[in-house]
Amino acid sequence: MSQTGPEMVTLTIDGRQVTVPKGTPIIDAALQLGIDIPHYCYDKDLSVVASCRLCLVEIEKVPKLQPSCSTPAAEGQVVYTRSDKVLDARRMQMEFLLVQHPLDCPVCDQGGECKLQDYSREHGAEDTRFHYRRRTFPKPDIGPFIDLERNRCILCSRCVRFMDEIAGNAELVVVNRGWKSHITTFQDQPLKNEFAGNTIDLCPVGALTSKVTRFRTRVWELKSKPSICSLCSVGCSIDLQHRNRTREILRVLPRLSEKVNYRWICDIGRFGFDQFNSDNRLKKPAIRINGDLQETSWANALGEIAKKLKVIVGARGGAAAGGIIGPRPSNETLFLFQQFFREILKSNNVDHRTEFIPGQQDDGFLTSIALRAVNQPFEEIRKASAVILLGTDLPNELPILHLQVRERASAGIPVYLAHHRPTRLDSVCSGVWGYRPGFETPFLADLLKKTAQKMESLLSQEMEETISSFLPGAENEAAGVSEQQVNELANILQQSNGATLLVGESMFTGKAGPVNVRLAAELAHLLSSDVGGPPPLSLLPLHNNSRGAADMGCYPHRGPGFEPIEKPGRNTAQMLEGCIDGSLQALILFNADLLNEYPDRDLARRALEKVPFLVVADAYPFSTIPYADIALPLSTHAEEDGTYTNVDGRIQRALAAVAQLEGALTGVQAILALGERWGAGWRQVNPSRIFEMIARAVPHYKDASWTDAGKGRCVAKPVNISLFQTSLSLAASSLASSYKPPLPDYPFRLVRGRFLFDDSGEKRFAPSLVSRREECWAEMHPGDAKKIGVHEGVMVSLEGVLGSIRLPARISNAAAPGCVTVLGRYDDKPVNGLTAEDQPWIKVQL
Amino acid sequence: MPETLHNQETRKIRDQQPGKIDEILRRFPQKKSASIPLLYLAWDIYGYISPEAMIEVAEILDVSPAYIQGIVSFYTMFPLKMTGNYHIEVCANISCHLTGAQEVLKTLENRLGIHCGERTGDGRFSLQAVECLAGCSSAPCMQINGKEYTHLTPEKVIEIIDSLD
Repeated sequence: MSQTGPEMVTLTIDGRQVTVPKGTPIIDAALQLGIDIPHYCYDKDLSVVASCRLCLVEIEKVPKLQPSCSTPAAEGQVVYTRSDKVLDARRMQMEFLLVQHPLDCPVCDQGGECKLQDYSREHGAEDTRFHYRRRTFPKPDIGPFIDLERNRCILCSRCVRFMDEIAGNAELVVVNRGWKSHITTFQDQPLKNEFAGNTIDLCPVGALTSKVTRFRTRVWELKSKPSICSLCSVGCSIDLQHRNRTREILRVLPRLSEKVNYRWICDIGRFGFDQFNSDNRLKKPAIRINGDLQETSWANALGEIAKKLKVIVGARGGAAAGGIIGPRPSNETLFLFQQFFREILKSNNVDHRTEFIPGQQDDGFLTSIALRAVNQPFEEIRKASAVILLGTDLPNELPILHLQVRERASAGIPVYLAHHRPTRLDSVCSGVWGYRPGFETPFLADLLKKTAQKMESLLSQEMEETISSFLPGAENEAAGVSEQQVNELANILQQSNGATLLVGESMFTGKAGPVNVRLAAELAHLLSSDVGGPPPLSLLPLHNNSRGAADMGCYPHRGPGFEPIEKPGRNTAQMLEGCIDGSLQALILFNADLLNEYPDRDLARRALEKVPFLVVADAYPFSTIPYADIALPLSTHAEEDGTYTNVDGRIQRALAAVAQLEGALTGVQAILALGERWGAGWRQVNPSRIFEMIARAVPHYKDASWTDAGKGRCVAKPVNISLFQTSLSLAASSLASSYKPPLPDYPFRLVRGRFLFDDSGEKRFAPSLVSRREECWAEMHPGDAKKIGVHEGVMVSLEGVLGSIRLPARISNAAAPGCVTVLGRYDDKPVNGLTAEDQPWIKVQL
Repeated sequence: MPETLHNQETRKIRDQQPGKIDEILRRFPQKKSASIPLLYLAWDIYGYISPEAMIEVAEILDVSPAYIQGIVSFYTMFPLKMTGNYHIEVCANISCHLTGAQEVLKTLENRLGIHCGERTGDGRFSLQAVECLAGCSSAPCMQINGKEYTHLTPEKVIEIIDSLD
């Protein structure tokens, strides 16, 4: 390619001229003229196989018809796409494709958006000359999401190429030969890949259809509403489709979003829409009377809340009330929630951190903001010369980011990964390092020290001291990474100018979070090509509005826009302790599945039992409901308008797709109604008005607008870091507890991690996802298993000081010695109920 | 590799013939190209191309087991069931077909008491119709454990079978 851009060629298609870069396939050049050449096997994102022969065109001076998908445009070419010769060939090719195709359109879900139907109508013959018995294939079960009907397949192999080239797992394949060829998985096993659902969109015929939508609608009856997926922090653009005038969501399709998910989504987002149709919902407000929760009206429930809170706040001040909101609701709900506490109750007891206990006021994420980290993983990986992943299992945490990193790797960008267990991304990485779980800080400290030495870079005195305090000296091996391995990684880093660092949940949350982020940011600075610029470091929070919850000021010590609060309130841990010691008299849980998410289930349970007044607001009956004094039914994500800020800081708007469930209010409506009831002069307004308030209150949302958010064009601006103290204390002492040796009778470290097909959050209310979920297991190292006589699949009991659970054992080298790994969150397997967070020690018994 | 099979790891080829694997891989610039020679090796060691054999070959080549299944099913020569001590492959392609391959096959089926694609109860013989064996000029032809027999007639094949011990 020359500096003046790609070489251009001009050709004539159907008598019109078009100029395109050299190498463009004719089919794409024609599309620029609005000429849609029929095709099945061609897809612009997949390799070209030219097997369907439908896109044949006539080119002057070329004796035979040529496939326009594999023939590059050339200077002076004269192409005919609708000459008699071409139309004749198309008609015959359609006749061939239909030799084996069943005429079951009336019961086929693809009907209405089927290319075979469309092209038959447009180009096909009326009848066939092939009157043979049609070939039929047995029908395998390839999992709960996708229905494979081989008899309808025309063998375009788009699905096979997608799985191999984009999803990175060639699970689908064409087997056999000639007329016996068909699509299959290995030994007809169920599909495992989390992007498999995209093959449904790619399939031009009805061979791959969705089992979840199957037989529930015809496609022409569906209405689309633009939404944002609510199942992880990537925030994929999706279309929620429902049948007109019903409340039932019937399908989710990806919506093109160049900067985020492009045209793909993961199976969790695609098939999880079942949750919105679930009958297992909170439907009416309920109030505890004589020990039982009894249905009541909203007016009564809100009146009661206002009355109780007024008594408590009147007697003991705002500090006696607290609110915990999950990192999932819309920005508008989050903003109003903290506003309700701060303005009306005069309480700063607000937090959204339901999944970890922050070691100090500013947790890992806030530390990254203070250090000016760019926090834009999607933007960064697009321009970085190397991608370094620390402490993250992307395939299980953020599927679409995983896909994009994979895409970078296949484009030749080196990807390096350090994590405490192997991940499915390992195979595309240029280097993989494993450290012992729990030794994130020493690993990072060692890596930073060695990299700085190699780059002959001086670290600050404070940093040097900090690093040496974290290095266990002779116990270097304890981190599970040898001196040589760290050196190797440091060597690579030293040469990776222009690299970007992505740091996962296991490193930036918890007590060690701020320190880890500090070390990672220092490392990022060393590798940055932009001296003095912000460190190319991005944290990867996991929930759909983790980022928004932080920006909206759902912190006890920081308000909207990270404005410091003079008299900080209590964080989640302190609120729970307050519930137990009686200093907190009222607690509001809003979209927070606290019992399953909080790291110390025992503490959470005791707090919910003890607190005199507990309000729980949610769409689904989570396990916190039985503790509530008042339960409020909320609308689901599909029933409410709102904005959500994704992991890239992109503020995106989702629109309500269906009418609200009768009896439920959206988060915004519920909080506004409570404010109204209180007599604070609040009144019901549209979420767009709340968003205007946010844009005024949060400086880095200043330029965002409700309309632009709907187009996915809004990105949060950099935060004014003067709001943060410049010198951050590294608080080494608060970390000491992490390195306590195992308790005498509890020799194993319990390691937790994410698992995509688990039970967490709303997933358990989506029957489709429940049918795909994989059972929880305990992963042990073969050496440990041998020592205590545990075999693969045997039920073992994991016992901690606080509780025990029984799980099937899985023996695998993926587990570090001395550790038991349990991935995912399961309602019936409360792995967070075994130990206190500081003492993750358990014993394993048969 | 499918996670359900993650612990039923089989390493027969890697345990028994590690040197041979290396020798095969060295012959090709791309790992994938070694699929067919490795499948022959797997056939030797597993006795036929079992699902486990496909998984192991896939692991050696860093490809998915499905990809290997695609290759195995494309070619007629890879047996998906246990073969006999004598594996008879009869060409059924056009030249042989025109010169009497069907009679040869029928004779073998009758003599051995099995159908094409089956194995005798004592495990001595297995019979398979295959595509061209590159013996068109001396059709019809067959091969037994890789050794070629040409210009076949029904009488001649019975003679050949009976001469095997």
